Amino acid sequence: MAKNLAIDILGFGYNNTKVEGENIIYRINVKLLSSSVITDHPYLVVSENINELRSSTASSPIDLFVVRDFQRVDNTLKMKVKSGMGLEVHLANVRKMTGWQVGKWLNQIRKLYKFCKSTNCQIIFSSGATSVLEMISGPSFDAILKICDIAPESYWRELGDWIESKCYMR
Amino acid sequence: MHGGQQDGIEIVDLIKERNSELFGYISTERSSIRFIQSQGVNLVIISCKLKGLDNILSTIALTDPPLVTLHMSGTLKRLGKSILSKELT
Repeated sequence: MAKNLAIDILGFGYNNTKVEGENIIYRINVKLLSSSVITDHPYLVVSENINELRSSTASSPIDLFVVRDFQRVDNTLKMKVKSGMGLEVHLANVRKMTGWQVGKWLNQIRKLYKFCKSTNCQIIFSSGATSVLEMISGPSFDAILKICDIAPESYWRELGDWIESKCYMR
Repeated sequence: MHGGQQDGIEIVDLIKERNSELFGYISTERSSIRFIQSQGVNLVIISCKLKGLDNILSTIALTDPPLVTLHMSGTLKRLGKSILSKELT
């Protein structure tokens, strides 16, 4: 299905159940990290809790932080975010928003993108899909990126480089 | 109209409604979103103007219940071929 949607690599929420596939990257919750033993598969350590991020000077295992509400975590993120970290936004929540809320959300994403550029972090758009029917195709992602004033070509290139630097060079 | 066709028309109405909410009624009218045909229970072919394509693609991604864009093409013939090849894979 991913290939049909022009998606090369899929992030898969890992809960000690392995899924075979070359184009899959496990997403491991930071809480599960100590109990999970993964040696043969690329993975990213994910957190949704701002309190799990340590200060920018301390070392942290978190590769990816899920930003639910940028306005709310803005100031804390500035103190805790580290260069090279991924900041992810989910589109699943946006489906249920009203037009007015979507407009506000897009504005937040533009600010988050500027924040990522200034802190050398990688912005990541995720469908947040829990089933195949909720997946978003590559061209749809491109259209949303353009609305957020992000050039799709540079976004995909930077994302590819970022994934390589995080997963394949561990 | 068979059930699939009725569902297809409802899906197009849903896309039009959401597109109007996100980009406005004028933009939706200019995009000329049309129902073409439905295949099976959950595959719908729609058409729109090229200048409205990005808006429609983002609307489809931001619609609830979720819809997925499987393929795009300038002609129905090529679209049919690519759908067929995707079904085979």
